[in-house]
Amino acid sequence: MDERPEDDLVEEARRGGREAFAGLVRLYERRVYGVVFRMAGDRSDADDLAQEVFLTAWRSIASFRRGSSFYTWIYRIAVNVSLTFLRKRRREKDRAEFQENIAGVDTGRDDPFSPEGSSSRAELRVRMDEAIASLPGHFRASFVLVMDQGLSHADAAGILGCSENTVSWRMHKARKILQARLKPYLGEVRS
Amino acid sequence: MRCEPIEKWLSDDLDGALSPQRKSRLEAHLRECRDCRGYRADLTRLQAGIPPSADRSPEYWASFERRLESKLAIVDRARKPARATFFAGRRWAWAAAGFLVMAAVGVYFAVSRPGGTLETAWAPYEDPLARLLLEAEADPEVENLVNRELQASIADATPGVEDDYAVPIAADPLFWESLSDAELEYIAVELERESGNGGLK
Repeated sequence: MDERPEDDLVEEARRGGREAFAGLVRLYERRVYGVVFRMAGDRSDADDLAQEVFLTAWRSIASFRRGSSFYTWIYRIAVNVSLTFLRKRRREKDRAEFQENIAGVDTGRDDPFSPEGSSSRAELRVRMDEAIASLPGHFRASFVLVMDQGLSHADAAGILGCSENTVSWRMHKARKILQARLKPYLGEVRS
Repeated sequence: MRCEPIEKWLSDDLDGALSPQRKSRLEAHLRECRDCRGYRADLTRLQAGIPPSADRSPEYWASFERRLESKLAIVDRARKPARATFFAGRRWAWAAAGFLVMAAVGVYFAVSRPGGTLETAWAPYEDPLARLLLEAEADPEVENLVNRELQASIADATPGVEDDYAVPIAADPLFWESLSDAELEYIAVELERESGNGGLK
């Protein structure tokens, strides 16, 4: 394990040091995985996306500006890679739904937010995952950075390239959406 | 006070982003508004209900790092040819230079190598014959001798015409067996005619 300070690792990685970059990967792999997992909502996709994040970082680390924060930079890459992935998946899903509609196929899927069935806390967590995955991309990115990664609104705004007010507003809207969707389960947990 | 801004303040408060001044106003509102208290309870449950990010086993991370390392190596290998474009862009010049070096080495060994030149390579075979032909031109006796020797050597080197056609076709029994009766009769007529017998009657 490379125990050098992060700044030294970044500087050496900028000069092409792959060992130093591997040290940075070990420092950030779990956090990056956490972001892309929550964004993608799937372990397999998260694995691919996390790899893509670090590959993108390695390709462009020479352009990383000295003195700026590496974690902000790597989080930004993680969010951008995830948003690109979500857009692509959205297009594929739309295309599939369009073809299903043309074929008149009934997918037979249940309403994911039906309160029927188990009302346990585990059920709430499953529904919560689904509800988070249904948030619009930029809302989800704010939600993941603040709720999951514990970042401040200011840090999340720096990563997302928007104002703190925008992050605050997105967090409020994301909570409203989740609360509305999960209301039946929240009530059962409450009682 | 309307509840809509209070809901946003509740969200900010959960994120630790609410100013102390607003926080006191929020608390004052909550004491009076049952709906907002209910909303705050829902948000608190939501916050508690968020599943932790899926952590993976140490084996997973080891595998993750190995796979990433091999991909990074591929990226690096793909980068290297781009750095070598200085040389790749002048590949024709390099090929021409190589050709010139090979030609120079070839000329050196053919012409300047120790112990001889291109001339000395064939002169030992050419010179004696040239000298003999010059002598033959000057002396008719020598010329006759040379001509006889040359014709004899040509005859030795040339395959004998008679050797190839030494066996007459008529001596081959298969030739006669392969002929039909009509053909045999025709041959007999021709032979008698050539010998003056007038053919078969």
